Amino acid sequence: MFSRKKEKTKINLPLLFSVILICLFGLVLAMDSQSATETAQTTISTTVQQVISLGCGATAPLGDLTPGTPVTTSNSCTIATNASGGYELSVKRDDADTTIDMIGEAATNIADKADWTSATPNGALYSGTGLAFRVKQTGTTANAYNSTWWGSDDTDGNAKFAGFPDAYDKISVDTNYEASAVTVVMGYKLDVASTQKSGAYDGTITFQAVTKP
Amino acid sequence: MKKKNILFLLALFFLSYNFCHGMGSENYLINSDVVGAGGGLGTSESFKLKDTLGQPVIGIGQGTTYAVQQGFWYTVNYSLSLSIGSTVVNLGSFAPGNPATGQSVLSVTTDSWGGYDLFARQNHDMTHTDSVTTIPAYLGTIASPTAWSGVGFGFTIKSGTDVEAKWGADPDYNYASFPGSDTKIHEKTGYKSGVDETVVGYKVDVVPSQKSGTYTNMVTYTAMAKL
Repeated sequence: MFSRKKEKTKINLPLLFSVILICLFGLVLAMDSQSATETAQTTISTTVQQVISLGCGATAPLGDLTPGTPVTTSNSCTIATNASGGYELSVKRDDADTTIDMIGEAATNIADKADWTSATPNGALYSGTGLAFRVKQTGTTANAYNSTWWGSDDTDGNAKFAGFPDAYDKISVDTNYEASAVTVVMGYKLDVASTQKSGAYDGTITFQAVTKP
Repeated sequence: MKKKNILFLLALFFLSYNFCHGMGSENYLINSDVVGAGGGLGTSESFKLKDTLGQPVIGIGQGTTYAVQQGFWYTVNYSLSLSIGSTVVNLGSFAPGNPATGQSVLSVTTDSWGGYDLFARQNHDMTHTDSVTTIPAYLGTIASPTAWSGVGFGFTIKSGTDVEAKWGADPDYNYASFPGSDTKIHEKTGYKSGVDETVVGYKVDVVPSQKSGTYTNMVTYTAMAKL
């Protein structure tokens, strides 16, 4: 009879672990030195130009007018621009003497209010007679409205008016980049003296929008 | 741990480090060496093959007076250089809807018989001088470049050796956006003597409302030798 002795192979775990670590270390060193690589960099630049578009109502009919009872109307301009510095919207009358004349009788005019001068803002509450305009607060994009020029709001007690200038002068300035189109609402007001010759009158004004750098 | 085990580990560490970092002295130079489990020389009428098996230690080692390349593959010493035509590419001034274009010429020289891979990445989307506004990346991807459509900043590979068909051909190139991390854009297989040029084309367009001004970013190219 033989007695069988069971022999257990002992694994030296710390030793095995250390051997694996050192092998990994060697492997990393080897891999690290295998690849031939090189890098190169370039800076790419481009400049996006300014673009601007302007659309304004083609007409602003004031309707029939009874002397002494002012009439009003409005239309709006839409300015779309990517200019980082915003834009300026200007206006002028096309007729040298007054904005509107009697149709077919150019010598018969309706007087304008004093020409708008942005350098020395001369907007005033409407009184008396004459053709006047203003930028209305209601509907105008906030950044495009200047309350110093056109009054704190659109009420009769605060709304300021001026006459159309004979050369472009700015009526709305927005120095911000506007990702979306901006709206400027124009208000028009007219009254005439009782002596004003009856009949149909018209005239044209021109708007211009210019980007700011 | 027993003393003999510690000695064994120290010896192993020394061998591992030393084999990877060369062996030699002021008086000798070993061009290449290998520690392998097998291998040899195989021949036929037309070919000769040298191979090794199970190399546990490979690498390049060098000192002031010696150099060693350990392992079979290091009997060939790779070199690779990458240069770019200009470190600044100005795509110029353009109006929205009228794309601007430009290009970079990448020159790779390598003696790797396997060729090389070309990778690219950008640091960020093209960014305005206000540091906030960006031109979006073009919608096409490197995996699936698309014919130019819409807006964004993208690139294509206009010419080179073995340009992948996915990039299209003049004038119908396909475009992709630059990724934020190194991504393979081109693979040149096989050995080529001399300089191998790859022309990368850039294209940018924006929507009309894109803020005007100057936008920049930086593109990094990496060339890696293939085994």
